[in-house]
Amino acid sequence: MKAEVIVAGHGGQGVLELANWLAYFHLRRGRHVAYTPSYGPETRGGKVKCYVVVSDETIDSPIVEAPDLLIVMNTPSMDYLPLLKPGGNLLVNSSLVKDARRRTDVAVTEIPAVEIAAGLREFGPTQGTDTSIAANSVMLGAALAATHEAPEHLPEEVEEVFRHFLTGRKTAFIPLNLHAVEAGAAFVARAGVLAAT
Amino acid sequence: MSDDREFLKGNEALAYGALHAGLNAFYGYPITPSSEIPETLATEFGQGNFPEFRSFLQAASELEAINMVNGSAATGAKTMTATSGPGFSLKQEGISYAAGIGLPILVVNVNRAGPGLGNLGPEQSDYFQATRGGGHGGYRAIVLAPDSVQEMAAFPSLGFSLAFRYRTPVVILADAFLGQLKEDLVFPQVSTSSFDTSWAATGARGDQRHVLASLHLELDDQSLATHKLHAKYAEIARQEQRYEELESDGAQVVIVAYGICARLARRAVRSLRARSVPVGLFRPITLSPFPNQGIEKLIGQGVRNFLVVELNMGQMVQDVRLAVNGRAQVSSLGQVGGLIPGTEELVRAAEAMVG
Repeated sequence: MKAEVIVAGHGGQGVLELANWLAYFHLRRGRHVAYTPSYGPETRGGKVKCYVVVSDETIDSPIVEAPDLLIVMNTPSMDYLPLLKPGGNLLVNSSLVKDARRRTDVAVTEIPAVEIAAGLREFGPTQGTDTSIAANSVMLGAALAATHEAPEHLPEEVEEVFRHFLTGRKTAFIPLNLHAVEAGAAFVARAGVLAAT
Repeated sequence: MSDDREFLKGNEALAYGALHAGLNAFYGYPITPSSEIPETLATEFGQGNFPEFRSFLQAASELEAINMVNGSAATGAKTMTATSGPGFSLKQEGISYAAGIGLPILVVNVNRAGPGLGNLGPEQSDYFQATRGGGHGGYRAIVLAPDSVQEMAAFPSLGFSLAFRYRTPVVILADAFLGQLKEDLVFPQVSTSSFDTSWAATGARGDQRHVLASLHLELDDQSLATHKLHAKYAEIARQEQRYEELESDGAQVVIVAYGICARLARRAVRSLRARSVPVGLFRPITLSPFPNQGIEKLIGQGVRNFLVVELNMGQMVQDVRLAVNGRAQVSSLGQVGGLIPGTEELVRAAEAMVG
């Protein structure tokens, strides 16, 4: 098994977190992982992009030139669409990105991630929390479902991922993020995505 | 797969690798893209997880830091500093003193783009500075080039063992990409046996005092000291060349690359080999001493074309040409400014050299 992923969006959308969680999830499934953040001037106000490579074999290059999976969180990040492999998976945050169906040779799934997350108010750490911040977790759930990660033990494994990264005061956000992952996966299951093989 | 694996940035892995190797002291001044090294060490300092880690200080400047490193190393302590381009330049004077005195120091340079202030992207443009000494006087440091987060974790231990065995500065030359890259890794089991520090200045207590100095006012004394230094370098060159090969059997063209470029080259070589194009990879792990023995072996196997891929305008290519000594064609492919060459570019360049 090998998958190359690009996750892209803008600063504040939790793009780097999402990529970290995805990589660590695969590490826990026994795979080699490589995660490359964009950093420096790029992260200030502009695009945030990162590469994730997961593989049963040792990873040659951590640089993703032709992803199997492209996760797009905002409209400017659609610029990466030409890189996506034919037959690949495009997951789009349709709360911000309209007009995502620009290629017919890839599987496109539009996920209203911000609205889905905003609807999870009851799982926020406090009553007034704006839960739309969990849109990145919705996209994580979508990604795991779209790439057909074996569902057995998946909720427990995702929880372990969050427990690894969300420590201290952030632990209060774990239930919200778990529900967001579940909602993202459920949305994709209903949408009936055909994943790239 | 063993699952005591960690998931860390190259810089964090290097810091923990140093701690697992028994780091006693760190002195530095932060600079992007190396700052996670002092940051990680500062977080661990005083927590009790690494009791041998007894001294950490953020100096007021790189000059202060490198001289603290030298003072600490003079007592036989395992001492490290970490920096990037501009800071590495500032530390050269101290590194020259360490070479002259014979101090076992470990200096990490996470190479960013230059010259001058440059930018924060990855380059390998400090190759000359690192492998030729960089400071004044005729000295060399041992230079190690990791190409993965796993090696970022492993090389402080290797670095300290070489530094103490030869009483010489050792440089770990990484790049901004490797510093920020996160991968799975396992902390290697490190031998905890301590190094010979019988030469160190720890207080005579009635015995003979140990004078550690690089000053030799008598001409004959300096000449003798320099000859001894270079006899040591000859010994290092005989004993310590390290390299890795991939698909070099039957190769007509061999790509020579280190650090992040070696990772790109791996992918290019596999893609070429999948089409039965006979291209291999030679990865120097020690940039100094340069692994001439490995190049010699490839020449013996009949390799007549080398493609040197670097994030600079062509520096290591000079060492490859020296090793080849006219017996093969040597081409250079460089990329600078923080940019990384694409796989297709490497594939095309290598394929064009296949006869």
